[in-house]
Amino acid sequence: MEELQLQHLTKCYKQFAAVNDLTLTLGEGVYGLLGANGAGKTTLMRMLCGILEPTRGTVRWGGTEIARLGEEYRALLGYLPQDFGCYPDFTGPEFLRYIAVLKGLTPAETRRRTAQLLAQVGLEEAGRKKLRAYSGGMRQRLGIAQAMLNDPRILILDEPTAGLDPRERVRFRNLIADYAKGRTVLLSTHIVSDVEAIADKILLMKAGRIVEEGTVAQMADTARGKVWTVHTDAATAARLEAVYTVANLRHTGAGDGVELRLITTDPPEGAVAVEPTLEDVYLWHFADEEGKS
Amino acid sequence: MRLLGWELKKILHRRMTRVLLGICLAVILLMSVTPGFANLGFGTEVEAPTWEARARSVQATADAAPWHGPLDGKALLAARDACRSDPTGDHTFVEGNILSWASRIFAAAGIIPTEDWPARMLALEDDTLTGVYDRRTDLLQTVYGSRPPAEQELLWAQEARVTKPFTYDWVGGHALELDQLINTMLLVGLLLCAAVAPVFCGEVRTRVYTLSHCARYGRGKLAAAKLGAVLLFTGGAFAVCMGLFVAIQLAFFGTRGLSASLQMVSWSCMLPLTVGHAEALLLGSGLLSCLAAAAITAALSAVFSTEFPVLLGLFAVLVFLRQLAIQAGGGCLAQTLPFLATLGELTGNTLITLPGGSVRLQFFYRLAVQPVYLVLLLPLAWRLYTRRQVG
Repeated sequence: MEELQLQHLTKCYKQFAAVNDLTLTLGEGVYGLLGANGAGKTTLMRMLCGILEPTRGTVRWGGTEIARLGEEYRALLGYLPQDFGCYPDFTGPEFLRYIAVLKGLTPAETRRRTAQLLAQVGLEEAGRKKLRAYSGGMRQRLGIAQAMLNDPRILILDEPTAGLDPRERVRFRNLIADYAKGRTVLLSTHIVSDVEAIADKILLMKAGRIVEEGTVAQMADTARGKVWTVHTDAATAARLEAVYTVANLRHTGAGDGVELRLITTDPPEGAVAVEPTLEDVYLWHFADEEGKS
Repeated sequence: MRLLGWELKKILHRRMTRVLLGICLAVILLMSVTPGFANLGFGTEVEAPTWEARARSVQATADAAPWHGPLDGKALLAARDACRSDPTGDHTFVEGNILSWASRIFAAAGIIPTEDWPARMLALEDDTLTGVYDRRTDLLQTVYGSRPPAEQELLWAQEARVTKPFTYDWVGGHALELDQLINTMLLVGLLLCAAVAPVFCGEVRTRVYTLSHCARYGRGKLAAAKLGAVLLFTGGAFAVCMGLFVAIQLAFFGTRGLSASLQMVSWSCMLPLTVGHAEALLLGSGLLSCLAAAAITAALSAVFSTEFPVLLGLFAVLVFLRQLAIQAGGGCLAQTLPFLATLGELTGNTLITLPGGSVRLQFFYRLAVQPVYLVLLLPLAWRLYTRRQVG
């Protein structure tokens, strides 16, 4: 199995390093890329797609730099950008046929894959509707379809579930989980549960670096002993909220009883340690960005 | 080829393209219909545009048929005699037109005064009238005799190839049409280039380039297909628009006048061309200019991210710089812009001295430099787009 190898990958905008000396290998499986806004996820994905030149470092596929592979590499690639653009005067099938030509599919392949993917993303009914009339969710599903059109070995999805309703998100997760066998899929999202459900490996990105990587279970372990629940009244809860990172707040029973889920190494009195989730891990790593312990 | 077809379809699909093509059609109709109803020397009592002016054009075209052919001494004398027998001039418009043409040479030579030329022409002796070609040669020698030897050599070499006597036809309609042609071509060219302005920057504005840039054929082959589509669209639409213009003109004035010597439009022209040749050359120059302007548009579109600066740049080059070049007159660089070649340049024997001292007719120099835009700017546009980073 060929791998994507990132070596000392760096992208600087003037003095700011959006991606900072990143070394990583992406093999077969689904990789979930988590990080706050501005962590460098989109910049990293663009460099992996070869549409943004790194300031330093290399991206290699099968040992060869992707810039040298050119068309050969792009033929293996499927990409859904975060800010996915399209032609408003085209219909969905028309747009897919156009992208199929760009991806070098034969007319027969184009017909087969277009029909198949439109059905898979639930757009077979959209037919003659112009893209200008598509809702955000429909456009996003079309974006997913175009990324998968050439049956890519490397699938890179930047915020693929943005704008999808829960039913569509589940359909998307199943589609990707089914598709990922024998392929490299990298997806970034703010919706942690999407990654949790399908990712084989989580990459936690912060300030242009991968600060943590591992399976969901391994990641959860990194937050063990840092996740607590505490039952208290509303007034105390308000005070705790100002001091701690609160993963969840839930009113319990009658009166002003409140259950808080806190992320901290220094829990308040009466707090009970609980099993961390991936969301807790995320909050643990990015709590300092909100200035809390 | 599939990619080229898609790119062409994308241009034609845009609403703005359809609007601009509609404006092109309106310009063509307006500019081509006007000469058909114009007063083409029918006297001050004929108002234009009117059906009366149109009827006079039809009459003049029909009346010129028997006179079509070599304008030799015999024809000149016959025209004069016909005018003498019709002092009111009601039935001898074409014969008067022949004498009017000869009168310009005699007036320039100082043989007759410009004012009151009809009476003076009727009073000329036979030998004087039939000596019009000799007078023309004398005049050309006077005008161009002071030019540097290289220029004289080129002009007289051309003049030696001019068939004499000239072929006559009534060319009033075609002459106005050729004048209209230049502005029409500039307007149509501008509109067509505006239609292809989004060719590259539209991909950036809509952010579709984030998809296409990482598709297998989304760089070099796509950029090449886009450039091919730009040339096919501008060239094809220009050919269709100007074809319509010419077809309307031919419907108005017929095809016979096209075989008349260009000297019937301008007696001092020293090129061995007919009116039809001049029209073909102007159209060819317009087509090359249109393609050159399209190459400029493509290059600008590959530099910018939205259509507005592209249109601004295009306007600056095709209108502002062009106007400056016209004001500036000579100079090779100033004369290389698209849409500068004019009928006056073709008939006025305008020359240009190239670096190195060789002399060329300015019209043909301009014709020759237009492809340079394609050679330089198309690869530049290709390179700029394929190397564009997604920001």
